Amino acid sequence: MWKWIQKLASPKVFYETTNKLIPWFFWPFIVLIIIGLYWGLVLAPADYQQGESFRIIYIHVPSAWMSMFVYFIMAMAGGIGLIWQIKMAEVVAKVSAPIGATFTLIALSTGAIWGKPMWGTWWVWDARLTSELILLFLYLAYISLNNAFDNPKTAAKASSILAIVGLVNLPIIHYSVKWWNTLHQGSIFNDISNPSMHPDMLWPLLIMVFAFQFLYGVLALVNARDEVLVREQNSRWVRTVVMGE
Amino acid sequence: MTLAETLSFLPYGKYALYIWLSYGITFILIVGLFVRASINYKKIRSQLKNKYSREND
Amino acid sequence: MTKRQNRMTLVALLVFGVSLAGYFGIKAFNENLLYFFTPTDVLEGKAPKGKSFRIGGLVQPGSIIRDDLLVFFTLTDNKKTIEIHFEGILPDLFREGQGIVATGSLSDENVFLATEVLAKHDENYMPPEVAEALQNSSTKE
Repeated sequence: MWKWIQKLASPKVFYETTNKLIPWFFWPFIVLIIIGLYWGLVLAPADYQQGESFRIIYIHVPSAWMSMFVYFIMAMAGGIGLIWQIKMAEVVAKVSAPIGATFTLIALSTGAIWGKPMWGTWWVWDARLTSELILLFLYLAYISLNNAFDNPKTAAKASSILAIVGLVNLPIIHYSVKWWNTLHQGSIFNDISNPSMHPDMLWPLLIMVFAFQFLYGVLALVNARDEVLVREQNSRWVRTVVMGE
Repeated sequence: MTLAETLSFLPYGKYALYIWLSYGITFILIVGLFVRASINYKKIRSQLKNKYSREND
Repeated sequence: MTKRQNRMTLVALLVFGVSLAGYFGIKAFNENLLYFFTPTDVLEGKAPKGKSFRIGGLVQPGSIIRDDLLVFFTLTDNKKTIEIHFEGILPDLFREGQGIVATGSLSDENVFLATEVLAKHDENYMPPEVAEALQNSSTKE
């Protein structure tokens, strides 16, 4: 395992591996998103209380879940980069930020659009919504910190520290619906063995969650592959790759 | 007539506006990420190509 | 941009970001640790007087009276009840037995004059037929 990590830490191996992995994430994403959308938008029954409007959940929940998952990966990769000086970890952290920020934006906007007819308002300052908004600001601060330095090493260091400090927000988002009286409903996986959603509606949701996982995978791989080329532009192998194409 | 009522001829009736708006925003943002990646792909390769051919001269 | 300018923008951005996050955090804390009062709290005089506050509870079944945009209903926490007056558009989830949160103030006659009514949803999702079947089996018991 350790040997494998060390190998992957070499930019050339990293480039080749990402290149090979891209189709293994792209095609599952395409297949899952088609099945998930058809199942969720057409086959799944309407909700007994929310009617058709509940279908927004099929993008809201996966993107909200990914907004936290990507942040976790970003902070972990940043931490690994800080501690072991692995440049490829810095690359993973850097390219994850805009993807995670986009997922956060999707979660916030689809939630607001659902909230208007259901709650009666686009936005409330409850603990769940506020902590998710802070997550968006954390991503934006991370991105601007990363761009503020010319030296990629300093940039990675500063932004990774921010990302790790911001980790504290993740449990706050997750448990906000338990710790405080929020307008936002609790999790359907409150009792993990007995989700509070009917299976006919739950299956497409799980498929969409997997589709979004693969979506993050393919986007991160493509962006990481190109970021490596820029960073290693003075190596001989990059020249061979670019000129050979 | 409100916008939500105007669009209620679409699938999902009175929630058509909200559902299509949500899915539309999501679609645009995700396509945006792919477009950004593909622009980056071309830009980086053409920049590096230029750089290397200049060095060769 | 020079290095110095870079660092200045960076510090400014960080200070801005941190204070913004702090502001929202404190705001959320203040408002949400006590996001709403229950009818019992209000009748015991715990809610602020002459000031707007939030009240939360269940809509008492059979208590809704509608007159165009005017709505009267009773809010209960299964202990005490409070009359609520509201004029405006109600959220789609508003119905008998539904949990709601209303913003407004208390009149001298202990009637809550709401300026906004929000519906609180729970985490249960099921098709209408299943909900109906559940209801039938629970009434049979």
